[in-house]
Amino acid sequence: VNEATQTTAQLVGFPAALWDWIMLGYHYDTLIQFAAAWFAQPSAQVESVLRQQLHDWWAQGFLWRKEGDG
Amino acid sequence: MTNIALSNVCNLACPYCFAATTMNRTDKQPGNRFISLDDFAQRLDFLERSGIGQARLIGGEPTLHPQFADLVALARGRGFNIMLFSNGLMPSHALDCLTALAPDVCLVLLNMNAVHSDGQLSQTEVERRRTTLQRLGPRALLGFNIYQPNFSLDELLLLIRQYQCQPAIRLGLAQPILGGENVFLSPKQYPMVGEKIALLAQHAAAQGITLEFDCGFVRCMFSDTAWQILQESQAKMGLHCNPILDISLDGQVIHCFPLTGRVQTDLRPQTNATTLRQQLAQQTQPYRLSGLYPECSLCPFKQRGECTGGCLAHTLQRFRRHSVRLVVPGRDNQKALA
Repeated sequence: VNEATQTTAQLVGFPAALWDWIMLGYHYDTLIQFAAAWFAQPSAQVESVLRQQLHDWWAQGFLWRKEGDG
Repeated sequence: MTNIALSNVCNLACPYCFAATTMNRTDKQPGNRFISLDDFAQRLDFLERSGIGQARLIGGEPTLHPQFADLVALARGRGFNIMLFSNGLMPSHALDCLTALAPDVCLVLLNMNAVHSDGQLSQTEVERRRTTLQRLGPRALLGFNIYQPNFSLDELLLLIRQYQCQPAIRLGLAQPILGGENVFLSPKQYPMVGEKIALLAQHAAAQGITLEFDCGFVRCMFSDTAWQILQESQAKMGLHCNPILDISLDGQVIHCFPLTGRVQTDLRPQTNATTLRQQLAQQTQPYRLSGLYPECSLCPFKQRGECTGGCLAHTLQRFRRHSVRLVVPGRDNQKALA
């Protein structure tokens, strides 16, 4: 839920799993491994899917981007 | 419905208390422990312009208000029926005032498992509560808040028969206060409690007593068999969670006590209950797609509107903002904070 814009997203399938993994605090590299297992594809191929999903959530205001602190 | 807080003091301290946050907050303001007669008259104005005929009085323990009888007289003088929420340990002047009212204009919902913070009551207090019941008779409706899976209603059934109270028991589920630390029933325990409630409903129905549900119950806590038993027992099974409108001493209109500080608005002149309910419902609307369980969003009971997905306080807790840092390597070295 993005309270500022009153928008919601109902997640199913891979996005739902990915969101839970992020909330559980998994490292980015681990997320790639999980995604690779989910899609049964090599890590290099699934990373673009993962990045696109993160970008979409950022654009929708469900994630915030912080820059410049290393 | 709209509840008006008369006081923020209580002579008990239930571990599951829904009002604890409000009480703690306003306790910090000296002299603001009881509603003034003027403010109460304004609350009645609000009820009047909202077309509400019942003044529902809450606390703390509302009967501890030193001018309790004057407040009741004011409400009655303006034609309001009285519904009072009490722990039963009320001063004698308050009890006198209530017993002077006819049972058809006065209903007292007595929380029968209101206790001290250690979960106990002294023998004197138990006897005082019984005296209250005895004197209120048909004005008394017995309530019970479930905050642990092991509970019994046997004593309540006995008391209802003994003192000719309303032939019903109002069951509440203890819900979490957002930002508070009260004891509440975990949704994981709901199915176990649901089965027990069905058996108790059957047992009570055999004695001509029905069970009524307060807000926050969910359909999936009852098996189909349990649900059928409840229906056959004539239980009043509400599965709802809506803005109740609890008006605090400082004039804040709260969705309900568990959502204090999270979903509330000011009581302004000329506003009415319908407008405020819409306003508060608007604030919570995005969360209504879901419920207290992750499965709620795809639940057929919820999709058919038969269940609202339980108490919103649980849902909001589930959606509370996490501060999880995710470092994403790459060209722009972006970091996402959910």
